[in-house]
Amino acid sequence: MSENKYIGGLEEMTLLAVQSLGKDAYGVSIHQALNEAKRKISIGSLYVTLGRLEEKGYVRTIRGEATEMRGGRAKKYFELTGQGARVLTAAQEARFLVMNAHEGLQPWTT
Amino acid sequence: MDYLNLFISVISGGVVIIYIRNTLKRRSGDIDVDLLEKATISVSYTVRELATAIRYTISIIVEAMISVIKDLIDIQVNIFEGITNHRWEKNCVIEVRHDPPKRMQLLLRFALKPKDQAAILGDMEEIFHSMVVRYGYKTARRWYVWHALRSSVSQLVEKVAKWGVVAYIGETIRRIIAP
Repeated sequence: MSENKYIGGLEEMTLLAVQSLGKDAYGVSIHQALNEAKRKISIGSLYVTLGRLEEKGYVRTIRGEATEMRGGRAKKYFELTGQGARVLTAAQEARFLVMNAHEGLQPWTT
Repeated sequence: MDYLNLFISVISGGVVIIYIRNTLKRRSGDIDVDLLEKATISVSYTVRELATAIRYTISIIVEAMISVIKDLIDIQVNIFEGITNHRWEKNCVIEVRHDPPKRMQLLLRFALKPKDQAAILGDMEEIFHSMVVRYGYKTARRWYVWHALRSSVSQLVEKVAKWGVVAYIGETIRRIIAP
């Protein structure tokens, strides 16, 4: 898979949340992190995005512990893969290049 | 400010009364009507100030008591309806289990992919319980219903994504309902 593959805004934010949360990255904490960043999405939409990222090989899942508060259901932790980290870095670099584009622009010549 | 006024009026009243007594002693029985009038006014003023100060003190105490009672009621509500899932009814504590709405859980079971079902239901239940503690059952229930509907739509669209036109229509509806 190409490292320069395009990822959407929500995918990028989700990857960033997974990266910053580290070992605590599961549905609730990622949802909270996105909410704090003013991306109000439902848990269902979040899992659709995470499923897409998993299919692309950017994240992997780890089965966690079940608690009484969750009705005895196990947590699903997410971890960034090497490929995911590279794609995220590439996306951030692209963003940086666009932000500083005016410095390297040359005047039009015919 | 009221205490300062009270202090000043008590002192001035006392000074006036002492002055009248001394004057009366000096004049030996010759009563000055003006002085008596002044003394009466001063004493009535003192009494009025004293009443105002007492009223002010009582209002402060009542306000403090009301705030303490309000806090106690809030704590009671939290204890009995939130944290421990207990409710106070007819002088006895009844255990209440705040479960997420059953119909919404059924809808989610139908709509969600089997792979994500346990994780999504668990995550939603975890958020629901923390919201019950923080905001109460009604708000938590409203949140659960709304998010269950949104999650169901997004997951159903994902399920029928291979159907082309249907997927396009579904995606449009999803963007409207759950942007």
